[in-house]
Amino acid sequence: MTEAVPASSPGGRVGAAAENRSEPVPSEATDRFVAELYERHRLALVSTALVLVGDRPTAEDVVQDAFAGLYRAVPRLASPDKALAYVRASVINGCRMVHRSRSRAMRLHSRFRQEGPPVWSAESAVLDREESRLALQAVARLRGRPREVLAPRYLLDMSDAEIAGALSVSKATVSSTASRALAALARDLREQS
Amino acid sequence: MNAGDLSRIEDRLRRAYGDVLAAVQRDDARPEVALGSLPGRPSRGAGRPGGRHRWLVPAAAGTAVAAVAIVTALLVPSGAQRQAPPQRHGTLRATQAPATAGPMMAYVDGGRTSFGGLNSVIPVNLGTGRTLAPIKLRVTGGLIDELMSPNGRTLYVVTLGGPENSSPKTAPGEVLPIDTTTRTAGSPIRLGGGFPYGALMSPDGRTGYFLEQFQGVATVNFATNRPGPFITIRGALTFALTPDGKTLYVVTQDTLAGVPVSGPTLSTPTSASVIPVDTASMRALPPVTTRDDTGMGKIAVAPDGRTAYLLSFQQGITGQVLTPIDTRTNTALPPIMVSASVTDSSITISPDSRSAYLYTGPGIMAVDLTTRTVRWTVKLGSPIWSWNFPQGPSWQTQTVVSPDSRTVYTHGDNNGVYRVDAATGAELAPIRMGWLSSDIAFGPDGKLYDLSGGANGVPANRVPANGVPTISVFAVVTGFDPATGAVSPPISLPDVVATSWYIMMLSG
Repeated sequence: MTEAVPASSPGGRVGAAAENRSEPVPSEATDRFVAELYERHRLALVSTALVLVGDRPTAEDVVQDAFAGLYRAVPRLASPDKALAYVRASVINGCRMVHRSRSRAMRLHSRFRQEGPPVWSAESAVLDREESRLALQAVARLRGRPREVLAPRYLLDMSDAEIAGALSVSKATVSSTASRALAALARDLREQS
Repeated sequence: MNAGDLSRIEDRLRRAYGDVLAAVQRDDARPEVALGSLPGRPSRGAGRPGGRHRWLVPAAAGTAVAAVAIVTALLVPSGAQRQAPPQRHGTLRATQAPATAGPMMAYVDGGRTSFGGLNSVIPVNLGTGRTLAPIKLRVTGGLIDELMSPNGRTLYVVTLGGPENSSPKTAPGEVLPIDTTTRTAGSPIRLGGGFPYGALMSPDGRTGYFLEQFQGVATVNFATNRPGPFITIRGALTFALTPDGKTLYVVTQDTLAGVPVSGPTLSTPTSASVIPVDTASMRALPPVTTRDDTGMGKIAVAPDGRTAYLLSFQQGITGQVLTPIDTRTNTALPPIMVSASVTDSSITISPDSRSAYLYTGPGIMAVDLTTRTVRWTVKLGSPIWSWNFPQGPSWQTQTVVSPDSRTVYTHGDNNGVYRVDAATGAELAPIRMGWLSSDIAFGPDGKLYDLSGGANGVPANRVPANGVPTISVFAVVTGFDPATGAVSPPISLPDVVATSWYIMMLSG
């Protein structure tokens, strides 16, 4: 999708620190462009992060970080068309970081500690539909990459090639991982029913 | 795993993710941070508890109402004659009526920053292209929908309520009648206490129906501007009204069905997902038995009033089905199989009632309702994300059919509005109007109007007068005359605090 062009412009520079690093700096056009992108995609990205990390505050943080990164990166992007792919990849990778952070011994001090029951738990009031809760519980039982490919594929409707780019793996890896994940899900849900 | 199993697990996964999106969407429509507390730059940790961040989001978008109107426009000729009931097609709300003398007017919801956090409606004279003084609404809750009386004298604005000078909050829904002559708002009419999600008006303009999410339908007597009976229907999600106004069809989400509820019209659907309501008695009738397993369907009534069409999912079937419902007997007829994807989310019936057009993101599928076959499918442009409860994210869903049923219009990206020959499915030259067009509909004057964030493929991108530097898009109204091919000069609405998408409703 083509978004508004955030071409760097002489005006609207933000801060001397950025100038001292002699790198492209965000402009007002960048403000507008990122704002557009944020408005249009925030909810989808928060939802994706939510099903990956389990709780809304952390999901919001991950998306916020992703857009903060995009804001800095936009002037360096080869094309504005890359912005959405960039921020999607940032969200997916941000969620991976959350899991790594939570697994550490110092997770109590992590800013990514779990906030409340995960969205797929029975204690969570997020989901009304039991069928969906069971499906997401099954997804949560998957570990690592199999879980990471499903949300981008079925929630963001990203192609396998786009997911491959985000995860820095080959398209074939994404396809085979997704197939295995779906098969595992089907088995799991059959056993649960 | 065979293809059938794969399809089933994929559908189930999509539904689960769709539920999460819907939940996030609902949560976003709840009370918001106070005005002026929004950061202008992204910062780490801004999303922690204690206030959802709204980085770079205008305060007026506080509710960021997902799936409902953030900006709503209503076009109406003054002195309009009796109108047909509104037809809901996805997010499009339009009423069609013969053009009458007098200027075409647009009433655009103005957002919440212009007047210290209060909502407003901005009248626009489409004949002169000039905006009039905004009508201040003494509520802080987000605007949900609008209705126009058949005589064009009263505009009814559905809001989330919230008194003046309170911080934005979600209150029980209210309806504000606005005198379009004096441009003043009257006393609010309280609805049933739930989250209002849509509005319809009876053809005679005497009754308003307001769908309250998962609760039922609130009614308002517009002759007295007092609340009428509340029709309790658990799991209510979408609804449609027959052209004669006698029957309201409410689609429910079946996971909530069967829950014992109390109310004047008890309804405990167990398997069906479509509940007819007799509007004379304001009572729910026995459910129409369909094979819809999800209750996530969209419903539209054909203009001839004979048939309602439910677009939904059924167990064991890949894609969606179109289930005709005989409105005389309230029985489901054999479904028409359509292989549309899960994100497809709108159904539009042509004025001649012979075709249904499904938005297939990005593109359109034409279904011949007389032969019950798919006539053609065409892909158009690039998709735009929008939000379409309950499925969650979807593509822009507005598909509009010309009054003569010969041309289908839709929009998908910043190239403007796409046109397709209804008979052949051949794509015609797109109309260069709008930018990331958010809503299109035919006005009573026969012109196609577009409400979007720019014009001629160019975003508005203006800095507002109130100095909030992060607002990037404003509403722009553009008209297209199919007879001459002329596109009218865009009308910018700098006072409108727009966000990502708009909903336009036409009335005449």
